Amino acid sequence: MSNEAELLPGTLDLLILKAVSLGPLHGYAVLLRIGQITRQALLIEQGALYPALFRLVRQGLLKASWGKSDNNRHAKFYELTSKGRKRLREETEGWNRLSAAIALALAARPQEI
Amino acid sequence: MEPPVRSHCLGSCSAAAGNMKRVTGDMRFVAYFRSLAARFFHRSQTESEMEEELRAHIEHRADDLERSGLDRDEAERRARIEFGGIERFKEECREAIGGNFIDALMQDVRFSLRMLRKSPGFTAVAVLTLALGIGATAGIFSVLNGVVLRPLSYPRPEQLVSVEVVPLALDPSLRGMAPEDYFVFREQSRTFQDIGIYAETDTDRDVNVTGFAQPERVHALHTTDGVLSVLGIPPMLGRIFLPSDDSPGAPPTAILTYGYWQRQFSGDASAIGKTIIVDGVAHQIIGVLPRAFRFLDAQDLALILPLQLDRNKTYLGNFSYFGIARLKPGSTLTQASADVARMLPITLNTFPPPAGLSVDLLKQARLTPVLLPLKQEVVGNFGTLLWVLMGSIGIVLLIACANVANLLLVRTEGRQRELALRAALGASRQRIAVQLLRESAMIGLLGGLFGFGLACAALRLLAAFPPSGLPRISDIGINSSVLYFTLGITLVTSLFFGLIPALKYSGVSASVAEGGRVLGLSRERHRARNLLVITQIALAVVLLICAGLMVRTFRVLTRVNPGFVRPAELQTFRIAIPDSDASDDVSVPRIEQEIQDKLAAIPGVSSVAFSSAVPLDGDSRFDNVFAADRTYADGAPPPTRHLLFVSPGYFNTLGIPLIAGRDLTWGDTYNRVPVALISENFAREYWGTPAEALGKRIRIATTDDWRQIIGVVGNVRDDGMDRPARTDVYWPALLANFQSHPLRAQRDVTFVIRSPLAGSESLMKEVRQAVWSVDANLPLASVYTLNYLYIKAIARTSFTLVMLGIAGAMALLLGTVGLYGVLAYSVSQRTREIGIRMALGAQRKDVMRLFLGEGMLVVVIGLTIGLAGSLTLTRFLSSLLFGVTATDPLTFASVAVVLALVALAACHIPARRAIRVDPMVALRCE
Repeated sequence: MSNEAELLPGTLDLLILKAVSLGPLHGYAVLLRIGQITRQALLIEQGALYPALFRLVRQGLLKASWGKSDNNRHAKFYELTSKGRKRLREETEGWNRLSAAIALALAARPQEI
Repeated sequence: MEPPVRSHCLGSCSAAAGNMKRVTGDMRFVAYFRSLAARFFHRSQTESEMEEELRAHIEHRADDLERSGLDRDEAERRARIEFGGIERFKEECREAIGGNFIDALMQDVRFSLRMLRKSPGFTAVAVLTLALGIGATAGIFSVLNGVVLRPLSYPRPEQLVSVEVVPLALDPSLRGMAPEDYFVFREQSRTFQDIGIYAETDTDRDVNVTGFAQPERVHALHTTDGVLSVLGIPPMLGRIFLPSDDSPGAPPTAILTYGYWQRQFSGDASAIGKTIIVDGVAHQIIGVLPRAFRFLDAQDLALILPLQLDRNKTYLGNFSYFGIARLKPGSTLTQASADVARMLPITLNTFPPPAGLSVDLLKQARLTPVLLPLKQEVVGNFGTLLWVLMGSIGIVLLIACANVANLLLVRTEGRQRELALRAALGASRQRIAVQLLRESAMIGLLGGLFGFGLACAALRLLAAFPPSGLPRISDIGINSSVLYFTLGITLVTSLFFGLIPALKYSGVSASVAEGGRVLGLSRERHRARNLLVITQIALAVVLLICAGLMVRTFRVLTRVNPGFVRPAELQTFRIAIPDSDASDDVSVPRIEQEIQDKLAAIPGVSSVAFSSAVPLDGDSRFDNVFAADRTYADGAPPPTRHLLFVSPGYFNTLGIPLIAGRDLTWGDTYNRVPVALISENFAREYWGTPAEALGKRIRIATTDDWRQIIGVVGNVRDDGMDRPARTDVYWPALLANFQSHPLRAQRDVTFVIRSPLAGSESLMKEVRQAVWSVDANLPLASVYTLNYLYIKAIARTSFTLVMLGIAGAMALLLGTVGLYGVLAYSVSQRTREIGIRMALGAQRKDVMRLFLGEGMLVVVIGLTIGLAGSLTLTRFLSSLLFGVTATDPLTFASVAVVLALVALAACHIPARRAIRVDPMVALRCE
């Protein structure tokens, strides 16, 4: 388990938005998709997904509707709203900037000061 | 929609292809409210959706696991374990959906109600106990609020003061205002906006109103022009008095009250300008007062008439009025008092004294101003009484709360295992405490609601049967202050009895490990409940002692010899013979005697008489009486005596014993023989024995004839049973040269009839016929039996007694129930212990003694504390007591004995249940 990073708070929402942006998914599928796109580097507690999904729905970033899954089960599907799409874009930009800055800081060598 | 990306290890994940509705537009906001509304109204639908969604997740996982080789059951099991606790995530989802306060509240309310419904017995007892306590408290508070706390219903009531003058050196209990003071104060005051004086509306000031179908005797208020304007209430119709209306000789005017206007003029606006005949004189109606108007505490006021005081005819010393004034803004009561003190000597120099009285005498009397806020004047003694009642009902509320707290403690203890489990599963101490608090709040709310209903009903009862003498009854009602108060005490009490169990039980994380079996009661919890019961008993003792003291006061009061005999047989009524019916003073007693004879002829009547006043009717005719064989230094006038003007036979009718000498005769009256009778205490005061008083001579003014004392009669407790008997002087109904009048007749008289039919309408019908056969224009007023006046005189004590008795009874009941409950629970919890003891050889009586001892220990401690507390607290009651001290040992002892006996009985029942425990059964089951 050592090559798995710990999830910083707030990033779960970002991951969910990204996962759903690639296509409407039901809850379990979101879980799988996140595992997929992170190449299993991040493991999410299964139940903890749902409060996050509900929260995103309340904030208007996702919308939900019932439908039938591949396995022919009745399930609730989530997809991005336009607001969600916008938020994803913004957060991604912000994240990239942040991580670049930190990477730069962490790579600083004594001579560069 | 993109095609799904297949991942390596977890099998297929899929995106839905099938039917998906698209939600159009940017309706997030609406969606939010919709979801909220959906949750509120379709609670279960949202819940079941959530449930379904989470289940679907687990199913999907199970599918994947199945695909990787496991069988279905194993796959599902594994999936479920992986997911974790569904309930926990559901809770988090609920919180995530919406922090809607109302929604969460509704959920909690529903949950609490459900928990309470599970144990209906407990809920019923708790709610009822609380309702009783809160209802009683709210009820008493509304009375306190209406009578004592609320300001009078006049504009800027804090500026209104009552103005009176007290002759300190003469008799500090006498109070009044005189016209000369009024004139001077009005002209020269620096602190009053305006001042007025009025004649108090007692039966003596009632007026005859004729000219309508039936002659009527009504309550009237005689005022100067300033009184109504000082109060500041504008008339509803017409106008109020101007100074011109009040000047002597001006055409007489009258103002109607709303009630009288409705009654006699049917609310007709054209009543303004009409005339009514009052005491034979025509008055023009100039105004009608509004419906809500009350003159201080006067009941059934019909007319307001101008006093029309004549400045030129004003002599010093006529203090038969009362004054009211409005302070200038910025003036204080102290400033006004000083101002009045400054002006009093000026009046003595401005107006002449009457014949027979010197200015020096008045100066010696040391007239002092007494200015009180007007409300205090109205409320009088009832303030103390009501605060005492408030305190005692507060105590009952505390006891009720203690009971409910105990009940909650017991119940929470029963749920110990459930709570421990919840704590172990992760519920924080806070959450459990909050939930316990919510349940208590629910009980408190229900109790408050029912209590409020109880209070409303009680007030309705009070309005129907008001205790006589209680001022401002019309101001008592449910208003916003009462509402806030009820809400306040509901909250406080809920907090109080909610915190106790919440604090005690929210930290039981350890006891699950004990296996949940409780062999005996933990010391600490037992102590809390015992403490509560001790408090209850102590409080109940205090209340019972107060009630006991009132019982003794009442008994003493009713044992006091009033001076007259069998008041239930004495029917009284009042008439006033106006000038128009008998212009000549000499004919007045003739008419009165004729009426007396006609009344005596009624079958069943054993005797009839009349007098200027009867005992306990509030008469206040006093004057200084000089005795011929005494010398009076110029500065020391004799004490004032109560004066009555009676017919022959008065003492016989009332049952006042004739101790020495003889009664008056009609010959004495018509021939104006200068005679009088005095009461026994007067005779003893001056001459040692009643026999010695006979033959001595007395008079009032120096220009009066000396009158000889021909008889001495028994004392009469005229002023109330709790005050000493007044010294009375009885004069004939017709006198010459009396109080500086050449001839004096008594036109206002009360007739007294002794008959077994007293109080019945059939007697009064015959009485009216008899009176009207002599003079058809005479209305009868103040139709009471003497018993009614007697009951009114002790009304304050009887009212206090009833209220304290109720409070004490409630306290005793609640305390006993609390004691029984605690002991019964203790027994039921310790069944195993009893079984063990008995198996080990304990006899029945040992077990009995064990529990009785436990119970009685609590009682004894509570009793001791209660007795000690009463010793200090009952002194607040002393103004209401009579004939018994606040630390009366008999009362204290009897309450202790009664309480001990009742408590013993209450302990006995559970103790008996304890000894009936079969040790085999007890040891076998849990």
